[in-house]
Amino acid sequence: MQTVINGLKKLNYLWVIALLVIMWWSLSALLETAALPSPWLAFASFFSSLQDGLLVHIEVSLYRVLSSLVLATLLGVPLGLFLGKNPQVDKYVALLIYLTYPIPKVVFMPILLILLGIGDVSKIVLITLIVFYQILVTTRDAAKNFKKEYVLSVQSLGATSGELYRHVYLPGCLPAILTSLRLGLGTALAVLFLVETYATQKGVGYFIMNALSRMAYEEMFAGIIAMGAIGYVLYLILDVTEKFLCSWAKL
Amino acid sequence: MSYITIKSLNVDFKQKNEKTTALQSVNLALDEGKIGVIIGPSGCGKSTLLNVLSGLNPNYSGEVLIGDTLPHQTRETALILQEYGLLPWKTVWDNVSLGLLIRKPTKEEIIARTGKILEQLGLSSLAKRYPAQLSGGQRQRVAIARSLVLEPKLLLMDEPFSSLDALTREEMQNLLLKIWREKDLTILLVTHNIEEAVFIGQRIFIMTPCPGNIVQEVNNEIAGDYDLRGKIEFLKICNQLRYFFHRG
Repeated sequence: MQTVINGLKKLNYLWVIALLVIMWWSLSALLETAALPSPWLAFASFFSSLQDGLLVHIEVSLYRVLSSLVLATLLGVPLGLFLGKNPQVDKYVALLIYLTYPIPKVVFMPILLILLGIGDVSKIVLITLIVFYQILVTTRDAAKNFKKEYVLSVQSLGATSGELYRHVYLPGCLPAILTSLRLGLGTALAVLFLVETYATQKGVGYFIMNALSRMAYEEMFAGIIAMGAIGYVLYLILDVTEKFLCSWAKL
Repeated sequence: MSYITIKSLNVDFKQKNEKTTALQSVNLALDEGKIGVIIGPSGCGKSTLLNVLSGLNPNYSGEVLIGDTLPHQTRETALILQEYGLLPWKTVWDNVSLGLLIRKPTKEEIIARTGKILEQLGLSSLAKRYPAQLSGGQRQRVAIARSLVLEPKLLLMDEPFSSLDALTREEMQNLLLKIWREKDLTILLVTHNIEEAVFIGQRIFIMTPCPGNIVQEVNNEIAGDYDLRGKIEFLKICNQLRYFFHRG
């Protein structure tokens, strides 16, 4: 039965992909503009560009976005869990978060470029900063609204504070953390594109804008497909991680 | 000397700068190997009292001793909460072995003790399941297994059977008596169910609220008999307790 369900799911995916390609192809046929090439030309350009330098740009973009996501998780999750577990501290930090969360961090890009240089560090720091807030707030709220009985029951077994984090808070908040990572991934890719259009000659963002400036639209779409593929693969990794680590949440 | 000794226990809570007295001048004594039951209406501080005894709440005044040790210093107690307190992200095996993992015996000992207690409670076939895949009675068995695997001398239970249906509740009450006989435990159980108190409790402590206090103790010598439920003495004591609560 499960095999049949999995087969149907795969079939559904194929239908959706086919629908998207048809929509793209129809629009390109309707508009008849070089700026929107047909899917066949775009994919042909994508595969030829892979052998012609696009792969290096993908590697650089992947490095930047993955480093940012890892850094944001390493900073946001422990701090979020700590604040959620300690409302007395959160009372004060919450004010800081409340005031700084709505500020669009992307406006700090010029300052970061000046302070940290035009290399990878400034780009990674900016993406990290933006995703960090999303992970921090979601993790803190998940830890704050945790069922007290879980904590009490493990405390009554003699657990230390560290053991409470390990056995209760972290695994219990994992579904919320992964959701925030999934949301953060979309934001991270958007910011990645933005930071790669400035002061760099590497990255898929640069590849897209460079192709645009040369009016090489098929190449530009090859870059867009590459950016989409990065997002899809990372999303898939998060999805598999969730299925593996949080199967209990769906019971 | 009693195994549990509580003298002049007071517990206050501070909520929004307002002091609330949860327990006032509570006295209780229970001998080793006995089953005590605390009964009273909601909000009378029954759970607060268990939290003090389990060492979860060290903010109290008065004397509280388990044997001759303070509650937070002893490792002889185990607590079972009303909603079982099982972690949904851990399997039955991982939930039961958690206490051992925390107390850090050898890996071989953890496996041996967890396997043994699961077998004793008929849970071996459910070891790989998550709590969400279990019935209420099975969850309660897992919660009991998680406590018993630590080989406690004192088992504290906070309304452990309150969310079970009548038949499962009776089955679990019988199981508790069986465990008590086999393991030579001292048990202190909180309930608001009069029949449960009379069936299990050799000493019944009646609490009243605002602030919580033990106002009467009943020495219930007929408790602990599996066939007690249909007997006339059982109904008599139930009615006495019911009269006490209705009279106010």
